Amino acid sequence: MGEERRSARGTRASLLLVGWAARIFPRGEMPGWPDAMRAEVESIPSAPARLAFAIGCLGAAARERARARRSPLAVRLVGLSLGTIFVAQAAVESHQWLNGNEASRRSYLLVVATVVALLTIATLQLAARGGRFAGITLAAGASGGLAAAALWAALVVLSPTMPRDAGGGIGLIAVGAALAAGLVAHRTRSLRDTCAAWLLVAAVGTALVFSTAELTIQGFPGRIPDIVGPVMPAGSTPEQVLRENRIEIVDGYVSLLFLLAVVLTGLLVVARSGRHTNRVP
Amino acid sequence: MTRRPSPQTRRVLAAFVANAGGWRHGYDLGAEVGVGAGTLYPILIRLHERGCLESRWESVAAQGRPPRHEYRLTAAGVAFAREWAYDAPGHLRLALEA
Repeated sequence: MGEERRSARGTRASLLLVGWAARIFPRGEMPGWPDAMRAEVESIPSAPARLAFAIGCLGAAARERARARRSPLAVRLVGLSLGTIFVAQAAVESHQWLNGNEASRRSYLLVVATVVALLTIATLQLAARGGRFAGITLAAGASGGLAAAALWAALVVLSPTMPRDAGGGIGLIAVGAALAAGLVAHRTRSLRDTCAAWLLVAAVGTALVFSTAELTIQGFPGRIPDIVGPVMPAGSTPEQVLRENRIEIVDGYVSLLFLLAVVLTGLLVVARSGRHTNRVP
Repeated sequence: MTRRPSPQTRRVLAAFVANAGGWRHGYDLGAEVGVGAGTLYPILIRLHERGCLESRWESVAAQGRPPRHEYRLTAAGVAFAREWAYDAPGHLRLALEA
């Protein structure tokens, strides 16, 4: 009698565990597997073996869920890059804030940088998970944006001063976007994926160029070109000239924020469009 | 399909081949190759996604139990198994070499 009770309890626990497994299994992507697990558990005669198998099913379901939620490597790399730049920005700006320099303006810029980084990462995650784009689309989009931004950053490092505006960066992003879109169009023959690749390059590249420019402006004042020097009143101190140069050069990069907003909106629209249609082979 | 499969996957593949194209149940398969459900199902799912494995619900279920899922290798799966399952345990390797 005691043995029967233990067996019944074991069965209930096994079914409970396999029920949890069914609940956490990624929905829609792998229909039938949770039912297969449950049927298998119910067919095992020994209660301890049944319980062990059910625990394994729960582990398998958790692994599949984690796998389904994981973003492609390229998207994670972009998130990591943005996060690294944001941390560097925060470190530079908090250091200057502690020294009592332009505290309110830097706090404002810190908030802007945070919003830009988080918004971009969130949009990329949404597009990657919900858009059901081909792997090549995400990889080419993220890599193209990274490459364009890296090239722009290399030019900034190699030049005596950073560019006065975002024109060069936008040009590099446009080239990267065209290359990525061409590659994706060739590989997928899907207009939706081609648009997504173009927009991904633009989003990633714009966010990274803006973040890099912002970091350079705040952290490396020696790289800011002298824009206002010739028109500043005689007797202006170097600090005053630097402050005015910072204000002027930020204006040259603000356009990237507007571009980013438009591109992210476009990306979300493309990600949501045709989610239930099949890709043209 | 060029990525080297894990040792557990190779054992599962070898067990399928050793069964000469017959349908297998998950629990029996796991017991034979010595892997638990937590390892077995992700392997079966990946093989199924890659077109190496086909599945069906058994047509005649045991009394009072729901029908179970059955699995067997596709032709592509057999070719994949013969390519990779060479370091399976002895009795399974013999089946592969047959």
